[in-house]
Amino acid sequence: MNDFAYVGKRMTKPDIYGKVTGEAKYTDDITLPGMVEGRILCAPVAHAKIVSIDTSEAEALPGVLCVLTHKDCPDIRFSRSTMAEALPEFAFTGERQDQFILTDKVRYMGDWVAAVAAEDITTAERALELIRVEYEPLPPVLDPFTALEQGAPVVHEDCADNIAFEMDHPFNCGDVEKAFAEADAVAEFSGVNSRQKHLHMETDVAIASFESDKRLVIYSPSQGPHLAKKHLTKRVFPDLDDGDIRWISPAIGGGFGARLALGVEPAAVLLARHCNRPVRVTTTREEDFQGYSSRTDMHQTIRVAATKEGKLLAIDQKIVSDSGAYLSHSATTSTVNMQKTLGVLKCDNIKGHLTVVYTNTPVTSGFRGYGNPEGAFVLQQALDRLAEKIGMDPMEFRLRNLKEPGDPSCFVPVTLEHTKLKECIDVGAEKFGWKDKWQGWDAAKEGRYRRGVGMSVLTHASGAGGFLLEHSSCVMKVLTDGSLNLIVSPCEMGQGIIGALTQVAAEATGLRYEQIRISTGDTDVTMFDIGSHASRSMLVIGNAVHAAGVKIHDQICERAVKYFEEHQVKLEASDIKVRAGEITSDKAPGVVIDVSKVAYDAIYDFGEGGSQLNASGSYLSTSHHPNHQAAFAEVEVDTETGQVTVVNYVSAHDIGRAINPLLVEAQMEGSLVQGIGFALTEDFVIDPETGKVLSDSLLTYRLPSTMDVPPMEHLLIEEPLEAGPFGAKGCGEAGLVNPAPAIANAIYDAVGIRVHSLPMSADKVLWALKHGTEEAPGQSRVSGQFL
Amino acid sequence: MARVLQPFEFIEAAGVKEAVAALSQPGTRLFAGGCDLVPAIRRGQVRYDTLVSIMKIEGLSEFSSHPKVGVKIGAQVLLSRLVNDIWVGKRWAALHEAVEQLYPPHIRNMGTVVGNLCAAVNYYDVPVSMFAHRAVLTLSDGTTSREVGIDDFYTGGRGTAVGAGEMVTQIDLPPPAADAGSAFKKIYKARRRADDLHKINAAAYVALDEAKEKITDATLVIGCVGDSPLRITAAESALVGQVAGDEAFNSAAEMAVAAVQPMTDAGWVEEIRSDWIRILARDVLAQAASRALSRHDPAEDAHLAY
Ligand SMILES: Cc1cc2nc3c(=O)[nH]c(=O)nc-3n(C[C@H](O)[C@H](O)[C@H](O)COP(=O)(O)OP(=O)(O)OC[C@H]3O[C@@H](n4cnc5c(N)ncnc54)[C@H](O)[C@@H]3O)c2cc1C
Repeated sequence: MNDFAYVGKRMTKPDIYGKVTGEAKYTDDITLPGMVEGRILCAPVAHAKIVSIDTSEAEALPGVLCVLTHKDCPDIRFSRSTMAEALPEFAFTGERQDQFILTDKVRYMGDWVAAVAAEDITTAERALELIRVEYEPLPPVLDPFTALEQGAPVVHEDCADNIAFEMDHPFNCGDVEKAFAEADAVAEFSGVNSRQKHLHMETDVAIASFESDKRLVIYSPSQGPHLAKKHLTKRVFPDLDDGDIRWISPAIGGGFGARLALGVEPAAVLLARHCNRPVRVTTTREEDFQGYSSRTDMHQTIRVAATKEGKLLAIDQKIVSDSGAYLSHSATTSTVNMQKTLGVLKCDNIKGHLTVVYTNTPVTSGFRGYGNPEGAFVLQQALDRLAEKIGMDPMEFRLRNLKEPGDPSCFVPVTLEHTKLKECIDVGAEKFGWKDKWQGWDAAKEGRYRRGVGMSVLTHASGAGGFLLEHSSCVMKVLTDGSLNLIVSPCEMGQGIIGALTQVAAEATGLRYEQIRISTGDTDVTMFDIGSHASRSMLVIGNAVHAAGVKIHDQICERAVKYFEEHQVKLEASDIKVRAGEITSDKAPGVVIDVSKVAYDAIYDFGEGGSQLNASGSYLSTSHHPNHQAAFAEVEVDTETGQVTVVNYVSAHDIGRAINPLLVEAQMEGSLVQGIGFALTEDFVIDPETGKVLSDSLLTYRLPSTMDVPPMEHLLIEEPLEAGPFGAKGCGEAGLVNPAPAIANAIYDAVGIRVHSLPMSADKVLWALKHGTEEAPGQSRVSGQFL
Repeated sequence: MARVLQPFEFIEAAGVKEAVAALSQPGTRLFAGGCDLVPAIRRGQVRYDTLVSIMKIEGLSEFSSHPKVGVKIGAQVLLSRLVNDIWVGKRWAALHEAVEQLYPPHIRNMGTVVGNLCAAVNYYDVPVSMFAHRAVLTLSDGTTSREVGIDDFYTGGRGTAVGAGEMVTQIDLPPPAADAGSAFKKIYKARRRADDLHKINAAAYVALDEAKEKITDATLVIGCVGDSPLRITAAESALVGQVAGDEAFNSAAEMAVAAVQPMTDAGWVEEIRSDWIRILARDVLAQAASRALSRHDPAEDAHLAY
């Protein structure tokens, strides 16, 4: 039994009080002296040449400080994605740098044409209306398949075939065609996800301010301010250097991956430069819908082959991703899709190919799960079809093809050292009652409301060690009362990482949880780190905290020796332990020394020993330490309306160790809700004629409500990962991967149909029930608009 | 394209007279909870220089419900006020269901019932349920008032019967018959074209005879298919005198489908829409009838009311 003071306990996260009382300061709460307001003019057409822009009337409006257009921008293209700065040079070809701060040509409805700074926001708004832009409309291309055709309209002049990125899966192996030829059974599934919106509560906002020492201070809710800063200096404003910028991420109103990309920061900097005042650029929810960012829709076909005994022989995946008007994250998310989809199960013959296409639609970006939910939706249904062909229980089929420690992980160069996916399946199935509920492939269901069950498994990363720049560092100092300042760089977006790191720090140092204060989000203060994404913060940053914490612990022990001497006990530092603020030793029963005594004396030592207790810690991750999950869903389908209700959901997560089970469960719950929306209701629809976003508000873009959330159970499979801080792995994204495929498989079990595009909304389900899925209507193929 | 709010005058009227007098200025609009107006302004769909709040006017906050007397809803009554009302839940179930399924909760906490009706948005749910309950609206100019039945309230497009110099002060729902029930249901889809609809909603009211067998009175309403909720009058009159059962409800549902004009949608959208109209019509009628059947002794209810 471990005798942890804090690890594994359901602690309340320390930052929650500020959040619920309204004390927490978000970017929009910050006002700088002399600050003015910036707004951006968005294009009203999907594709057009900008013939002329007349800003004179807008500039003449009293209160307007400057009106900027393309000609005022640095003549350099950049990508909104900051990932280029975290990738090694060889992998970096994926990140085409393809946009200007303010565009030279309109490439989607909502593209940024001009920017205004004014004394107040209403003046800025009026100024936008006074900018006269003459557009010469061009025919838009709104569908990735049309974009790939000969003679299709060209989105970027330097990319005549509209192919933004293309590659073979780097880990293709075996002989796929031979395996298919020799297989006992072959199955295929094609499908596409819709462009799920992040819908972080805080819409995009940034403040830029040039201080009197010429340094630039940026406030914005970035998920990775160090990376964003590097990207901004290297690719947007090359005249600035790393040290010229201080980037502050205050409280962040949700991220889900959207904050990995640059948002309005470059525009804020540009405006601040021109008007010599601090500028805040604001966007509205409506603008967020029109084009800020969303998940990339990936049209996929996956073929799978197996022996009749259920050995998976081959997987062949083709992806055509619709990046939208600019590349941003869609090349990297699509690549990760291939990695996770082709790597979740053991298979010797693998082939993947990816094409990312430009269209005149809003820009897509990274989203929680980063390609994995998109791929799982298709793969896990292909696997079910295959299991059906060989007449095998779909759970059994997956169990027969699990990877084991020693096998290559989904990122092939790294060996899988730890997986509890089998336990996840076993424990989840038991809790769900799979054995009773799964009635075979030909179970007859009757009546208007039919129930069915389905399952899905996944592998996801805990950071991308071996691939991304996965190192992190932190600094600790102990105050005279035994409290600790921990300076560390996770981004707290609500996921609870501050709380979990506090637990790691308290456990490693032996100090009190309540007395640990974290400083984060300021690049002048924190050490370099690539930010909170890829479920990496716990593993990578947590290990850095652990490394520093152990040093503090040891310093306390060394200094504590002399206090035991006062009690007539002669000890070595190694005999002493510190736990929850108390210093004790098994060799000195009854003696308890408070850490504050040691901490106080360390500072208030006028003799030779004076030094504040302090330490720094670093960690470099060399593996992505996969976490795993198995999920089981039960649905009820109304065969007359097509409505699907999830009635029960059980998932089990291979977490290594849950530093705080409450937070892990909360991540699983939240991602399940987001996953149910992804699966059933959230539909980002683009008008196939004009390129206008039709689902442009929370009235028409339907998030799941509490009524859509089923009874759910989240089980934690805990067997510590040696490399994890106290054994922990990541958990932030995995929960969003399984819901769509598990629900899809359950729908098939209930009524025998499969819907090929997300969401599996009532109208599509009803259509498929009546006509089957072959004769799919509305074949525009734009963003999930076909069955 | 989206906008941030422009500055406007905000008047908190103390009386109905003051409120409607202010409306004589062009660019002026009544303002209740703002759930409809604020997003419309932000989207640039409408623009007003002056907004006249009715939320401080004395005497418009009344809400009462009694199975024998009816429901009174003053112009300031918020949607959330209805959600937990026992009588609305028991005897005006269609209204209860429309409001209960209205989310996010912030909207229920800010939006008024009257504002929901006056917004005249063709896909809102509360109006559909109000048709089933045969609501009567009171329109006042501060001196005299007149009553307008919900059937005559919507005048095409987003127009209402509220004249210049008038506002709605109250909604009244008559008490249902002794053995009557009602139901509301909605179903969503995504808009796939600019002129496509994104949902269908329906409500019904069914009253039974003393033997609880035959239908004595019925209302059937379909929403989202025209400018305002559509009463299926042919079905309503056909239902009267029939045994409350599948046969009657199925044929009423067919009449509902026939009564709705085809829209300009793609053929497959049209097909799903017709199916949904049929199913929702049948479901709400069957649900309303089953509520009428299962209702316990009204005397028991009356005692609870005090
Ligand atoms: C995100 C969201 C989700 C929603 N979901 C649903 C839903 O699921 N179902 C549904 O039915 N509705 C839904 N609504 C609509 C919502 O219920 C209405 O917007 C709200 O009830 C309107 O009331 P209000 O008091 O806010 O009206 P306001 O916005 O203040 O006014 C609406 C209109 O009515 C006029 N008006 C207000 N009071 C009076 C009066 N006394 N006399 C004459 N005219 C008046 C105003 O001038 C204005 O034109 C939703 C709205 C939003 C924003």
